[in-house]
This record gives sequence, C-alpha cells and structure tokens, in this order.
Amino acid sequence: MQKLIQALIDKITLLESVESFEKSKIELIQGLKKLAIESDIYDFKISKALKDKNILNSLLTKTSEDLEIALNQLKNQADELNILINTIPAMVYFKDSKLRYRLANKAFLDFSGLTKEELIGKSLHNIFKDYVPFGDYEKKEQKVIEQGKLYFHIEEQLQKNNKTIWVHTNIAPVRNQKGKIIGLIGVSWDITDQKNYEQTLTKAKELAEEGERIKDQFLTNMSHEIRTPLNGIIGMAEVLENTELNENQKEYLYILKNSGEHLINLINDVFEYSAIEKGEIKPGYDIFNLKDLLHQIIDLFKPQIEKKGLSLTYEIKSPDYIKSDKKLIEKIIRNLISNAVKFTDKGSISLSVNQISQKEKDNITLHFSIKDTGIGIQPQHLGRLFGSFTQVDNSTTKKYQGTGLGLAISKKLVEMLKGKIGVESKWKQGSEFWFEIPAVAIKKETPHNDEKILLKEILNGFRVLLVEDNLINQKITKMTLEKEGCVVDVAGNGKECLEKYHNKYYDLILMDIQMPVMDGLEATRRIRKYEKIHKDRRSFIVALTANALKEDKDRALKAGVDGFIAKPFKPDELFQILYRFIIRK
Amino acid sequence: MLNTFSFSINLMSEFDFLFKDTLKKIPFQPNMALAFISASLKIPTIMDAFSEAGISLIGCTTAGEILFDKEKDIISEKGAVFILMEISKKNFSIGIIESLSSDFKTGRAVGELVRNSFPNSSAFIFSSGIHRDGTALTKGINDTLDDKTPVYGAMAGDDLRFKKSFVFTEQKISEDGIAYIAFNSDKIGMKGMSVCGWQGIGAGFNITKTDGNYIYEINNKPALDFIIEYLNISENDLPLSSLEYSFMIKDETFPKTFRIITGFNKEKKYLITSGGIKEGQKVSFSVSSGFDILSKTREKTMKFYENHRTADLLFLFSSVSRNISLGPLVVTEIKLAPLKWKAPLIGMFSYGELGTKGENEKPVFYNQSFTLVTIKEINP
Repeated sequence: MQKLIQALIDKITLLESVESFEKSKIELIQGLKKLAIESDIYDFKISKALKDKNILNSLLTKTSEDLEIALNQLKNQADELNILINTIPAMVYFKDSKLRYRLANKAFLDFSGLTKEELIGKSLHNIFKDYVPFGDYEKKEQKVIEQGKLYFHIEEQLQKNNKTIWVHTNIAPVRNQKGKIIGLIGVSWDITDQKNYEQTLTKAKELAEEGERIKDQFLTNMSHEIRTPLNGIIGMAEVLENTELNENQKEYLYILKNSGEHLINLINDVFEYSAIEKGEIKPGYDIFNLKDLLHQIIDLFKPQIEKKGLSLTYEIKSPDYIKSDKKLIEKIIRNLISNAVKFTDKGSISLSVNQISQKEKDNITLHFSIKDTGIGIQPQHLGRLFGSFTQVDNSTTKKYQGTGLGLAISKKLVEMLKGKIGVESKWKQGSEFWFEIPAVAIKKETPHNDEKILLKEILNGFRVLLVEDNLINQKITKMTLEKEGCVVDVAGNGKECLEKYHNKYYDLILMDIQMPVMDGLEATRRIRKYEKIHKDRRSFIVALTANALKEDKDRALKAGVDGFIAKPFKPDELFQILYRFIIRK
Repeated sequence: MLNTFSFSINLMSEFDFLFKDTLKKIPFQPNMALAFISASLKIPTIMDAFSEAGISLIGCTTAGEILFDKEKDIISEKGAVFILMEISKKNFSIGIIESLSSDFKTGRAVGELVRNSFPNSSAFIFSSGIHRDGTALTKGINDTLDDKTPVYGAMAGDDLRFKKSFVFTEQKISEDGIAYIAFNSDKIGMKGMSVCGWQGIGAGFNITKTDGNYIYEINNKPALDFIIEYLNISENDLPLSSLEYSFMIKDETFPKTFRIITGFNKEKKYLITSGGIKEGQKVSFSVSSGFDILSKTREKTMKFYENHRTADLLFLFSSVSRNISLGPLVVTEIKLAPLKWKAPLIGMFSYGELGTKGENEKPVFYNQSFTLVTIKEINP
C-alpha cells in the first residue's frame, strides 16, 4: 500500500505541469480508487484477524480449562489406580511390546528389591541376573505379544535371599482401544507356603500308599501263612473222620475241625470285607439253578443243625433258573443261615424264597427269608446290626464268637445286587432276616441233576496235575481228587510241573502260586508260551492259592490262569469250580 | 453453443423495465431462465413476468447474488440475477415437489424425478426450508441415482435472516419444497467441482445427544450453552458466527465435512445444523484458513479448467461463509472462472451446497464450499 501512496504523491507533483494535468488527474483518480479498495481489504483483514483472534482466544481459554479439568481427573484416576495396584496382594507388572517393564506395583518392587528407576525400561534378563529360566518365560511373553495368547498358572522356582521360592504367574495381553496388542500384564503370587504344603501332602500320600502296599503285602503273606497250615489241619481232620475212631476221639476231632473251620471263616470274612470296601468285588451275572443252589446250602448246614437238635424247613417258590450272581447270593444265604444256626439253641430254622413281583416279562424280584426261634435281638440293637464289626453286645461276641462282619458283608453284597436287606426280631423269641433282590427268570429245561452226574462221569479217569510244594496239601488234595475217580500226578514246584507237562497230557493243572525253585506264575507263563509257539491245545490251569487278594488274582490272570480256588478248599467247592471250568468250557 | 443473456437488478422497481428491455434487444428467443433472488424482493411479480413471456423459470432465494460476465462483476445483497437461455424444451424439465415425511424420502422422490426425465439426466436441485437436513436429502437423492448422473445445487438462503427461504418456478413458489431442473445430458453437458479450505481448530468435542440435524448435547452440556460458552458469543450472534466458525466433523473422511448452524431453540437449548451429525461423532470448531483458501480455490479451478476447457455458461454455488470470511476478496476468488472460460458466471451465496468429491462420484452435501459447474451444449 505504501508503494501505491508514493505513486499517488508522484502524480500530485506532476499536476503542477500543465501539459500532463489531464492525464495525471485521470491516473490520480484511478489510483485513489485502487487505494480505497486496498484500504477496504486491509481493514477487512484486520477486523477479520481480530475477530478470529477473539474466537481463538476464547476457544483456547475454554479448552485449556477443559484440559486442566481432564488432567486433574486423569491424575485422580491415576492416583486411584496406583493405590489400587499397590493394594493388590500380588506382584503386578506391565511390559511393553518389546518386553520392557513399564509399570510395577509395590509388591513387585518389594519382591524384586528394585526401585522403580532400576526397573522401568529394562527387560527381565537385564535386572534379574540370577533368574535362570528367563528364556522360557520370555518366550511365553513373546507369544502373548505375538499371538494374543493367555498364559495361566506358570509355576517356577526362583532364588531369593539364597532361598528357593515358588512363584505362580498369569500373563495376559493388553490391547489398546483399537484392539492392537501394546504389551502384557503379569500377576504373580509367592506360593512357596502352598508349594511346601503340597509337597508335604504328596510325601504323606506316598507314605500312606507305601503303608497301604506294605499292609496288602503283609495281608497276602499272612493269608498264605495261615491258610496253608489250616488247610492241612482241616484236611487231615477230614481224612481222620474216615478212619475208625472211638467216641472221645470223634469228639476231639469234631472240636479240632470246627475250630479250624471257624478260623478259616474268620479270615475269609476279613478278607472279603476288605475286598468289598476296596471295590474289588463286582457282581457278575450267570444263569444258574436257584433250587439246586439252595439245596446245596441246606445240605451243607444239615450236619450242624442236626447236631444242635434243631429242625430245618424250607419252601421255595421261584423259577428254577435265574440270572444273577450265584456266588454273592450263596454267600448271603450262607451268612444268614450260619447266624441262625449260631444263635438258635432250640426250635427250628426255616428258609423260604418267594417271587414277589414281576415288573416286566422276565424281570422279577425274589424275597429270601431265614427265620429262626433263637435268642432274638433287643430292639435297641436292631439299628446297628448291619454295621461293621458289630454284634449286639460284647457278651454275645464272647459267647457266640465271630468277627461281626457277616451281616455287614451281607448288606453290602445285597446292595451290590441292587437289593435291600432287613430284619424283624423279638427278644428271646427269634428273628427273621430277609433280603430282596432283582433277578431275571430264565426258562431252561435241562434237568439239574444231570450236571452232577455228568461231572462225576468226567472226573472218572480225569487227568490232573497237582502242582503244590506243601506235602500235607499235596496229600489232602490228591486224596480228595482220587476219591472222585481222578488220576492225579503231583509236582513239587513249577520246574517239575513243566517236566511233567511236557511228558504227559493233562485235563487239568491245579497250580499253587507261591512255590520254591519256580513259582506257579512263571510255570503258567511258560506253558502258555509253549502252547503259542507249538500251537498246542490250551490247558486248563486253575490257580490253587492261599493268596486271595485282587492284585494276586490280576497277576495270575495276566500270567494265563483260567480260574482260582482259594486254599484251603472243600471238595464241593473244588468240584463246583471244576464244573464251571470244565463242563461249561 | 447455447444462446444466453444475463442481467441483474438491485431494486424491484428496476425489474419490469429491464426485463422487457432485455427481451426486446437480445438476438434470440429465450424459453428458459434461472434466477437467484433475494427473499426481500417480490418474487411472485417476477414469476408472473416470466410466465407471461412464456419463459420457463427456476430459481431460489439467496444469501447474496453473483453475476460475472464481460461487462459486469456483480456481487449483490438483496438483489437478483437472471440468466436467459434458448434451449430446446425437449432437453430440459422443471418442477417443484413439496417435502415428504422425511428429508431422505424427499431426496428419493426428487432423485426419481430426475432419473425419469431423460435416459441420461443431469440436474440442478435447489432446496428451500431453513432447517432441512441436507445430509439426509442428499442420501435420498443418491439412493435413486447412479454415479453417472451429475447433480449439483444449493440450499436456498434468506439474506442471513434464517427465517424462510424459497424455491420457485414461473408457476409455483414453495417455502418447504425442492425445485429441480433436469437436463438431457446427451445434449447438455454438465461438469462440476467443489473446494472448501476450512480447517479445524482446537480440541474435539463429543456429540452426546442428537437426532438427525438437531443437536441437543455436546460434551454432555446443552448444545446452545456450549457454543455460546466456547465461542464467547451471545445468542444474538447466532447463527451468523457459526457461518465463519462452523462445526467440522472429526472423522477420517476426505474431504472434511462441515456443518453450519441454521437455527436454535432458546428454551430447549438445542441447535439445528444444515446437515445431520451422528451421536458419538466428534466435532471441532473450524475457521477459514486465512486467505490461503483463495490459493486453494485457484489451484483447484485451474486443474478443473485443464480437464474441461470449454463451457457455454458457468454456475457457482458458494457458501455464504466464504462471502463473510473473505470479504472484498471474494471477488478475486470468483473472478478467475469467468476469465478462464470466457463465459458468463451466475450464482448465489448459499446455506449449503450439493457438490462433488470428484468426477463420476455421487453428490455430497457440503457447507463452506465453492461449487462451480460448467454447462455446455453438445451435439446441437
């Protein structure tokens, strides 16, 4: 604008010259017009700039106020967050995407013994020089950053003040508002106390398991050690029974045999209860003739009942054949009849079986009842009758002997068969024990007597190899089998068994397990191996053992035996087993 | 080449003589005219004159009128500018529709009329109604038209009173309607460009309560209180202050979107903007980038000229904010176009512009823009 004004002054000077007056006047007017426009623009620019300045000032003031408020809020939030983070009873840290510490709470700093200045901006291996597993830890952190992966329950051992401590850490990715991973957060706890407690518990558990294993081993050994001589005592008593004896000798023999059997029953009860408790007994289902079973049981108790001068009646209203667990039913009934005989001094015992319901075509419920006219049970004792190791009172135990496990075992066996058991009793008048179990009725026409006849026919000339190291057991078993017509060879250990096996064909090998030179399991394994290599016929091998624990049975089955007979055995039991293994197979 | 003739008036009393005189002296028979007229003039009188002369008319009221040709550089307030044209009636179609239940629906209806006018159409669309949501209207238009249909236009003004604006033909005037003129684009070529130049200032604010173009809360404060407090102005300064310091929507779209305030409610403390702003969007205030906007306009106009060097006629829809912010320099901004194309330029200062981001793109609703359109007869 200055240039324009100077040009106008020059024009005014030229006005003095008459020659150029008109021309200069026109130019002067044009210049003044231009000046007016420029002046307008200049004024406008100034007023606009002032206006803008005022607006910008106002905006600046307001936004500064806003900013201050926001900063204060932010500071308050940061303070609160700081308090919160420092109050957390765990070590908390935040690392950026390059795994450098950006934030750590007081617990973390206290634990690490570092100041904020020493920590922030550093990576793990820069500051924890003694920290051994950092490589692996940082790899996990790297995965959190790269893959957004979460890591939980990282447990590691660290050294602090020359002490080994345990730390448990969770790591999670931290994302910004757009979802991009900008770092990670780690939360760690000192779990040394927990870890120590855990280790103590583990040791205690191992000790307990070891104790349990030793106890089982002890029970196995004891079982074998007790059963073997008992087998001898009872067996020899039975042999003696078949010789000529005077009345006194007969009585002594009866007491001897009775005491042996009582002891065997005690041991069996204890082992059976233990097996039930450990869940080693599982119900199996087979088809059998219930009436035959009941007759066999009655036959078994007949001598005792007659000796006590009692009468026995029975009434069986059930299908001949049922599908259920024969062994368990037999055990329950024998327990209950045995109790009835034990606690009844005069009068009678009755057994009845009734089919009480039929839900579907063949699904039935059977009600068994064993009634006696014995001493009965006082009402106050009825409630704990089916508990373990319980007889009605101590005087009963002393007078009638027993472990007190019979009813507890019966109750558990009934429950295994999905049934129920109960008792009604009147003091000094008698008791009725009953149980109900579901079963499946089976229509079968084979006359049951045929089985015994068939078994007898088979056993006549049946070739048996008895492998037994105990001379008394050898003798008893041999005699028992020979009485039924079997042809019995005896081997004193596994090695002898193999020699005889290779020289002669046997219908059955009765194999003791614990033997010197070569035990029954090894002998069985070698026989099975031989059969496999030479594609020879599979021999029936029945383990004849005092060891009735599940672990022993599992080992024997793995070695290749087909079945078990627990020592000492009664001839009937042996023949039942033989029936099961020989006739059925 | 189209036969055209332009003239302007400053007073209503000038019109009758000037109109009749013009019709006598021009060497062609005009059958169509566009007019941008101040709402303070007697528009029905003008409409009747055109009707009697058998000339189709379309136009709207303004916030300032523009006419640049060989003889005149006119930027008027409360005046009127006219362009008379001789153009086959087969190649254009004029109409007005009243607003429907929503601005979107109204936009759709106008779009359909334009689309159905010719196999290939182009159009000018003018909208009356001070509080119309220009964004919704444009969305409605775009909903019916393809990218190949050039559409430009403006929101009518009312001399910065922000009370009533009008659109009209020679037959009809409407204060709540849309006027359109569709051209057969196989005969009349239309090209356009838009440039803005405003820039955001200061921090961003959150639009916390809104309904279309009704803004209830900003940063959880009543919107009216907010703008008065932050710009340090009084209610009386509104909506004028908002023309210079409009809202800029802070998102990542380009070009930036600006919104001027066209009204407010003292009791309920809400603001009405020329186009919608969504709840949750961030806005800041904006200001013209000093006199740099002149260079931007020059640069973009030159580029546009390089691509389309011939035109029979130029139309300009320039935001009234530019007139206020540039003051006497607005002449410099406008003058380049008629000089380059050597063609008359007629236009108006508006409350909103239907412009374009680029060629073969659907129209965009602008505030603060300089939207220039060239018209050219093709295959006469």
